[in-house]
Amino acid sequence: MSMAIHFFKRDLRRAWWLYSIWLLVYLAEGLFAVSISPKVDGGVASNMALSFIMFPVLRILVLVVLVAQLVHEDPLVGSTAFWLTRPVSRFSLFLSKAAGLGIVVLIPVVVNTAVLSRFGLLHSELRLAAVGILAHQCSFVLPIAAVAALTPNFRFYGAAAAGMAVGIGVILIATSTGIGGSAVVDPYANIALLNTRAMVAESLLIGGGALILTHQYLTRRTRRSIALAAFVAVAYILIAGYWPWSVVRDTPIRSEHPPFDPTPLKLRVFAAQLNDFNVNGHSAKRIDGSYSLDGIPTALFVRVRTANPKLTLPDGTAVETFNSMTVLPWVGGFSKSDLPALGAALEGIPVDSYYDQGGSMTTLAYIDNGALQKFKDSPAKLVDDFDLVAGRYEVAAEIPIVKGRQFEVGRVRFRIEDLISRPDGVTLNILESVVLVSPSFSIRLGPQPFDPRLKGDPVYFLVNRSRREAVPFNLEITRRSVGEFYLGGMLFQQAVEMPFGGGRDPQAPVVDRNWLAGATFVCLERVPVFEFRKTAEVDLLKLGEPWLRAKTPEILK
Amino acid sequence: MNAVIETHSVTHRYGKVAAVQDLQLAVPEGSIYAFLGPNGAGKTTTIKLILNLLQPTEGRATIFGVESTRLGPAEFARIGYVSENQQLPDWMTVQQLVDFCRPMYPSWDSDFCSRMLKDFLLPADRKIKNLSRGMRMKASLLTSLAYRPRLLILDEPFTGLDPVVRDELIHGILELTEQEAWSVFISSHDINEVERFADWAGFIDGGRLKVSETTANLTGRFKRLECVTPTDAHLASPVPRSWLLPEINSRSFRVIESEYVPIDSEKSLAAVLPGATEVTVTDLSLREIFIALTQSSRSKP
Repeated sequence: MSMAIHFFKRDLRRAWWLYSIWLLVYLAEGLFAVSISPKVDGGVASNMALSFIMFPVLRILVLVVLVAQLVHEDPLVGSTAFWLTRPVSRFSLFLSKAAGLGIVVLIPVVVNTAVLSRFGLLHSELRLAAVGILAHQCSFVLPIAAVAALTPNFRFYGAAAAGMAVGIGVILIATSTGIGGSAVVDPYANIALLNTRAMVAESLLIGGGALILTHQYLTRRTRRSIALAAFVAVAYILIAGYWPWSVVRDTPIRSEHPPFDPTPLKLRVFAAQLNDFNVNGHSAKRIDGSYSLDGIPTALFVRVRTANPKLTLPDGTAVETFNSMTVLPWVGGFSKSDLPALGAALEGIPVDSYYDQGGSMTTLAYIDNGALQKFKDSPAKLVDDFDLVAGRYEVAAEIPIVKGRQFEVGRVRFRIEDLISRPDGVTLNILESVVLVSPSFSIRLGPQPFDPRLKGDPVYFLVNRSRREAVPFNLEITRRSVGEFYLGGMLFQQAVEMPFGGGRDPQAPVVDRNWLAGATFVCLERVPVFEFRKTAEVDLLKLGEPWLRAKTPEILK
Repeated sequence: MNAVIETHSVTHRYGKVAAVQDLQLAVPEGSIYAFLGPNGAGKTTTIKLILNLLQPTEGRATIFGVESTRLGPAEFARIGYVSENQQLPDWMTVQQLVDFCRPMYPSWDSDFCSRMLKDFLLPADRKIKNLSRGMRMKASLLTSLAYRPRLLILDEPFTGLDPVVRDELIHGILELTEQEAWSVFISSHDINEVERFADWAGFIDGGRLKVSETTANLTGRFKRLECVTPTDAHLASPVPRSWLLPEINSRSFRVIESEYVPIDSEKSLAAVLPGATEVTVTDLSLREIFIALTQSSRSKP
């Protein structure tokens, strides 16, 4: 142990200036992050340039040199290193290097967590964030340290790192853009699977990097270590591109006692719109439409989780299509068919709205552009198997309509910033804040192991319980979003100007000072109850038109 | 004889090229062993195999009876190694290098180190990277001697050094070995320098060890025989196997006898070369022996 400390101290003396530069960049980044006010102030471009580009690039460059310096001070490759004929064990040397690497792994955890705490994360969230940041940092530091351990000096290290980066990049681009005949990949279709692949691949980088380092330090069998590294690299590429099992997808909602029998229910599907959709240079079309399910219990509503389409031309030719999957089943506002369920959540207060907030829209199918051109004038038949989730609304928070009041749903924080009276109602300026920890994991959409509480978009109402009236916001809403990347995460904020009353909704009560006096601001979140499958068919679907027309707009089954 | 270094049928190949073949070496404890050979003979590879800087393709090597592949801190604390190829931490000053090495060795002798620092005229505050080649070698030697190792391994320590520095190094090594009775294993292709103090010598050429014995034994059995011959004299066949590089001219003959025995060797000469007169026997230096062995092995088909 004493020898490990002795070498560790020597390494610090050797690389103190690199450590200092790296630390200064980190601290500057941290100070910058905490110095700017966490609010939407329009300074996105400059903040992004500094916090998302300049600081991280500088910090990564210094780190790449620092890690190489640390490892190459006592190179493991070759037979001329000073330490090789000195009375220091490989294990002691390994420990000393592990301590050196520990600094560049642990300091970011501390600094990042400190910055995140500035934004008011709970202790439990900070612990979660620290794990995510630790994993993220390890997934970068360990592989580059492994490359350094397999090279005798910085020249070879640079060449090896550049070669690996280019090689992996080329392979990943080749596999993701469909070279070799693979199909269009819809990034949202398998979001949970893509997240799983990213996380498993990242875990492999951490485990593989640690294994290669340990093996090389304890055995100095470079050829075997290189073989191990090659295996890890190949496994990384395969996992990143082809890992088949999703481990982060939401568990299907099973119920031993289903709240209803889905068999007799009627699913209505309206093919509505053909939209362009480009993925990795592939031009594709997305057939969007709306749906409704008649006959579900009043207190429940439904959303599409997955659509599994089959498109067939009259001559029986199948047109290739791709599955679609909703990023989160609970994204978007409510639909008009949700109104009974919303009323049930508000203890029977009747809810009516002129507006449909888009909750009933879904993607029916994706189709390759080439296939579309080939069959553009042929009416086709769409048979779509829908995986549907039934859920109910629950009141997540209810606060007085007072400026400065705030509440939390999971890690999402809501604050009433301002209250602006209008002749026909009131506009609430709401600040929604959520800190997504660790960029490598959490800025991806979909279920995340470090973000278990992100449940989807809430629905807002002003409720006057004494009058038994509820007012949803109208669609004149404006949002200004800011995603600020900070150390270890991203603060995502939306300043929402949310108008209640007025608009084109003749049913809405008049929201005036008197009405507001006894009202509360209510946030509803959705809770899944039951998952089931229904099939819908659309005949004579004509492709190639901006607006699709089906001879029979609704097929009941 | 207690051997401090031993190799048993050690072979090392770089791809298909054998740098060292079937090496059987024993370095007696307390000896100054000169490991000699031309450039590319396998000297450095042998040393690296002994110190586990390379692993043998076949065979095994030991130091202090410990397998080279199992050498650990305990053994390296008793071994000093100096090589022109060894990387030194260039960013350190000489004093920092000393301070870095000191805690590694329980037997570090600070007084001894200070004395060497003074004797070698090493500037303590100068960075290693700013030292001359000779100064670097001295710094390396200093950090390999200050803990009084039982075995000092020097790999081509004199290459590129001027005569003054060479003398200083040799003087230092000699003085220390006399005081401490250390074992020294020194490889060189420059035999003049090492024959002054080596008491054992090994010759390696083409990866094979040709000779390994005391220098006294070598100089005792290797002699140059010269004689005057009748005109147009011819060697009778077969010539003794112990003869190396026989040369016959119109009136003279010379040969290196590698197994010289007084009277018997002269008789053999007379038998092979009838009429030979004025036979003279001359001592050979290690250098001459080394050249004879090298040329002899290369002249063989």
